[in-house]
Amino acid sequence: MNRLRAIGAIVALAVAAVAGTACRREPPSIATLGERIFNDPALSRPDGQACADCHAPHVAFRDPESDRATSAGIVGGSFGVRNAPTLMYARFVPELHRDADGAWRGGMMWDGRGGSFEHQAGFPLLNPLEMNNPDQAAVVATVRAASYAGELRARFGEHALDDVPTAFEHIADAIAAFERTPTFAPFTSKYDRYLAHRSQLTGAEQRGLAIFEDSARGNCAGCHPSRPGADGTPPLFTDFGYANLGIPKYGNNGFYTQAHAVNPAGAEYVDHGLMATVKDPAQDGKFRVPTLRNIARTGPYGHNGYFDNLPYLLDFLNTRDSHSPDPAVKPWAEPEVPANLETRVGHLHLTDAELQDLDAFLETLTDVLPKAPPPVRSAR
Amino acid sequence: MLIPSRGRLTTLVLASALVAGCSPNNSGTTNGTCTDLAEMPEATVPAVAGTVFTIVIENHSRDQIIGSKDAPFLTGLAKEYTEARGYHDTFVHPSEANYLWMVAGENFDVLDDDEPTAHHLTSTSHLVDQIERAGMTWHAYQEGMGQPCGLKSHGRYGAKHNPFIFFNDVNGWDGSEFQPSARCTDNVVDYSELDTDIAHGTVADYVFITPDLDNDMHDGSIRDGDLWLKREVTKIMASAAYQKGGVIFVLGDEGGGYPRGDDPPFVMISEAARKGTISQLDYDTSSYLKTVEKLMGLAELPCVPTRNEVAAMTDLFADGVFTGSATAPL
Repeated sequence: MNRLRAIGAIVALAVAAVAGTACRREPPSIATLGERIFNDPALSRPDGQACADCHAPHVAFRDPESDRATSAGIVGGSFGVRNAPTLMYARFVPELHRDADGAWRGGMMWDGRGGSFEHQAGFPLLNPLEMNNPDQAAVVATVRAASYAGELRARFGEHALDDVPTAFEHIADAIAAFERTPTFAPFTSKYDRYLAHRSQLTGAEQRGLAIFEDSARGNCAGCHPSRPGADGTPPLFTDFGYANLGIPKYGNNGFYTQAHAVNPAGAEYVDHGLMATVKDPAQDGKFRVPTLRNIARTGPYGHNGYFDNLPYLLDFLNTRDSHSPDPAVKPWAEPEVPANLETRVGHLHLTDAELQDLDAFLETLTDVLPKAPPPVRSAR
Repeated sequence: MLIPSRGRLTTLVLASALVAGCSPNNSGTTNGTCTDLAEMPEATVPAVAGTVFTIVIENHSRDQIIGSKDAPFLTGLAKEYTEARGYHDTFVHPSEANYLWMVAGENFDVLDDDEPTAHHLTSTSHLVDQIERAGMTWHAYQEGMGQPCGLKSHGRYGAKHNPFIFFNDVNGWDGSEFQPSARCTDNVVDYSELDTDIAHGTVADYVFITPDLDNDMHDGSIRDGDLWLKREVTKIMASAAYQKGGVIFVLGDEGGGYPRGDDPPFVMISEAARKGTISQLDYDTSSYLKTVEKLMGLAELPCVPTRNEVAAMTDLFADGVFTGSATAPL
């Protein structure tokens, strides 16, 4: 009898344990919570703009409103000064540093000011020309009221949202965790399959690759390495360095018409890029070399979105120092910053056919991207 | 009484539009099944004898252009002819979706500006299918395109602003590559050919004009765009295609949606216009397309299930232009 009781007790304990396990829901991962924050339009002031609005998955996590050179903020009429970059492969960007030769590399944002990957994730939330929260407390207050607040506490700790600076850090960490997922770095392009010997490049793509890597012609690979690293790491198509390509001012930049308090220089504003971050005139006009992965889907191009389409950019890099052979293209305007001009481009002497091949190769860098999501106004 | 186009949506979108400083309001996106043209009514006699022209400009709101000292020409046309101040887009973005809507009445769920390689539209009920079925002619003049039937953007030409080349029955997509036929190369041509067609008196019944990315104000200034319009619209107005009873629509492709002044400009020029009129009625891109179809005697909005609820922009026209009352639902 005692033995039967003992068995019964064990069975009951086992059942209870199983039931307990089944009922105790594990909180979502930090990355999953980050995804919910990333897609929450309540996180702007006023609400209505999520991170995903300017970094949408179906366009390689850049602004789907690609007809505008720079992105509109949540406040009507507000525009940032620069082209919203793709977030894909951003997790590989190292923190800003000088390499062994003293050249600046890495750093988040076009000008390297973003600090760490986690740090940059919080920037747009507080930018008055983007999501316009007045301070960290406003962001944290919104998150405390969000449907996922309890899950954030379950993941980060019961008091995770009590202290504003700590809570804001958790929020930025969660967004960054989402941006570190394979969704942002799938390596599913045709070129990746080609490197893995699972796909062939067409003749045009092959010729384009040859131009891309030829130091005597395109020499693109000089700044956009195209071969796997020694450890097999797939190429990221950026050396994380900085260059001034001589891109002209974009006349319709919405930043030029912002209120005097935001942009006192108006249309005379000059974007100094890295110089503003490191306070070194030798870096004036330089911007971080972007990845070329998904380049065909991430227009417009250049830090200020000057180039509406990829062939237009390639034309500029080919003929900046002379003139475009396209009769519809006006003479190239002066660089926004004439100093420190990158001299490896501007006179590539590529023919139209070679440019088309180059363009064909760049198309192979497009990942398998999701379709546009149905319009959703709120994640709450 | 006019039924506001997509009126049922208006309240729904208002709440989001109020806060949509940046967030693209894509609440209008559709990917319905177009009605086969064989099931649509036959074409009737066009309401006007001349060419129906459309010129699309970019990236500036009505309030930035109409009344601006930088746009005296278009402002003057708006005052002399007609302006639709209640016009707005159909809540799809970015540009490409709106251009598709102008010729098909829906965006096929396209919500990006990608090249034709990314979107293969199978509809055979879009506007130029209707035009050809009715035995009429069409031309798309694309400034900066160069070679005809340009399927790829380059320089100052944006394929996203050329809606016709996204349809398989125009671009010849066979499932693996484009095989452009004469239908595309003969009809989708560089803008420079308009001068020749005007000179030869061979302007088509329907003409869609996309200025290059500078002249449509996308990248160029309002002042330069207005100067371009002054030069080109003046030329078109002097052409036989216009003088025999043509209509010229000059409109922006999309707007921000809030405030209303952020909506796109819409000016209609014609001797058939109710001159000096500023319409405040609620119109959208479907209304514009229905108006084009009505002017040309075509079946209306085969890709819009609620086609009967969409109002044509008849109050912009003088009485008698359309059969029956010009202010009745059409």
